[in-house]
Amino acid sequence: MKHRKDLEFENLYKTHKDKIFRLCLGFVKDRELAHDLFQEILIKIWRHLDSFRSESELSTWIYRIAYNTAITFSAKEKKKPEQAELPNGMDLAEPENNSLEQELQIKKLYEAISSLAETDRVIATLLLENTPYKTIAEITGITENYVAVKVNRIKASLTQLLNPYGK
Amino acid sequence: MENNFEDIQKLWQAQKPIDFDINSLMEGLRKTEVKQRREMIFMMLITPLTIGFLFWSMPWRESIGIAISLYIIAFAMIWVLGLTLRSKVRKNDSSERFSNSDYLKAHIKKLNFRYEIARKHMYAYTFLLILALNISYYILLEPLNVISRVGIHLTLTLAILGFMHWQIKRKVKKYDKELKPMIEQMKGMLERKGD
Repeated sequence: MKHRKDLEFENLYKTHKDKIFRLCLGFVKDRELAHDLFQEILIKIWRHLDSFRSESELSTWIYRIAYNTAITFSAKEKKKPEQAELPNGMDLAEPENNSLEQELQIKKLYEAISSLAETDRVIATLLLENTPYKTIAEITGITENYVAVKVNRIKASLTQLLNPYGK
Repeated sequence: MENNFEDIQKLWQAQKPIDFDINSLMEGLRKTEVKQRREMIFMMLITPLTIGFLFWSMPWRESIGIAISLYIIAFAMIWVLGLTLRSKVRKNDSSERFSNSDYLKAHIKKLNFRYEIARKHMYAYTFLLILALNISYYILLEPLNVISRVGIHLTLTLAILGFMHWQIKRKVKKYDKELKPMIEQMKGMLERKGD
């Protein structure tokens, strides 16, 4: 029989894995490193799960852990990250059923995101997930007004860098 | 611009990972948790066990000097264990509570503290160790002549000092290579937040 923690983690994993996965790819270009980061975030979520007290939204709580792990991970990229004893063959997937053009766009998007400064990268990835400004401000520790200013800059910069479909 | 950005959002959100076996994942995480708990218990046990062994094997009841020496060693070992626990193995890194800025600040403080342990506190630990051993040797070497006693005290002091200094330098060099760039990069991230 599964424990309460197992069920909570399973549920949380199913709901948020896509966002966490995309965040990892937004922070590290190398897929192997993205795998390490993904793993490190899951370890921290698992470790802190008992301490979640519903004082904030679950998604904000997860984002906090994920982004805080990601920013320090990028600082210690060369150091070996904390590893869990995970089974073999747990590779992150290549995007499914993408056209060549879409693949190229995705590649360009990741390159554009990784060219941003760390905080802007956090804001950009949260923005791409339709996260409200208030949550972005809570996660990054900057004011909501300043988030709005940065959002405009980031939107302009990403759109310019990508210019999707030639519009 | 808004339309273009919506396209970018769609493109971004189309990325999905393959579903992997969640049960194997949790099994792996549980194993890691058990392993970390075991390491923590080992760390918590090794110091009291060593202190216990020293008190068991040394004639501290017969000599106040040896007793003082053992108390100093016990204090130094518990102090260093406390510092290590504070800097390294604390389970909660507060990543779930802090915003990015606060987390970075806390992380920088934590890394600087590790530096401080190596650069300052380990010399204080060395001093306490040398003091304690010299007190014990002063009593144990009582039957020998003065020149031999002074010679042994000097050799012991210089040997421990030399060894610890070499160890500390090695550690600091390692931190210069690993921690310093991380601290600098995190400081840079904090500065760039205001850009």
